[in-house]
Amino acid sequence: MEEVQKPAIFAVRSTIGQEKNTADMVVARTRNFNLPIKAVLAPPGIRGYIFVEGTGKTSVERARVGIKYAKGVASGEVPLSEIDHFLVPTPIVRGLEAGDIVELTSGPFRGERARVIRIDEPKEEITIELFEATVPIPVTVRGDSVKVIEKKEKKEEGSK
Amino acid sequence: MTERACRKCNCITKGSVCPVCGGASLSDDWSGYLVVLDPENSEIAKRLKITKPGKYALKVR
Repeated sequence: MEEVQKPAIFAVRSTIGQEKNTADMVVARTRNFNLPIKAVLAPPGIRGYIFVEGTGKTSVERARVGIKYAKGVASGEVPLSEIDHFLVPTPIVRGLEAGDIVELTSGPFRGERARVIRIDEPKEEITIELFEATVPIPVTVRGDSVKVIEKKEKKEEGSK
Repeated sequence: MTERACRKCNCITKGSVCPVCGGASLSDDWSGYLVVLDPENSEIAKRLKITKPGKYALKVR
């Protein structure tokens, strides 16, 4: 009886900055040669690697052969648990709270300190009030352009 | 035309309407790239509850 191979995830080395193009080329080759590739993943923040889900390393190797940007298949399978955090990214604003003191890391107010007033989790935006400003004006910035300097003091701890 | 991602189902399209859910709320600000070819047999597609083949973004703002 023929053994049915379960799909596994393999890491394919690619040229840095060409992850999306490599993924597109692997998909094009898969369609042309009718290879058993199930999915191709280029996660954000991972440079030089893409993940290819297919039945067996041979099929993944066949899908990447001839592609200029695909350098080779890493030995060994990648368990789904290892790439799980890429699939469901946590919001950047998680952990921030209204009242926290932050420092801006980009934009025109870079380097300035501010207090968080409001957090918009779906849009990943935060509204802040700059300390240096003469008139307190609320400014809305992206969640990834701040770093936390001081967390809001917990009142319950002080009362006991 | 640039590729945009659907805010509802994360599907990437060049058109003005999402080919998967039919929604018109598309965003230019997306990251992560996933191409699903065989959603029925893909563990990644199952994890993300993707049922239709196509291109998807992992994060859409």
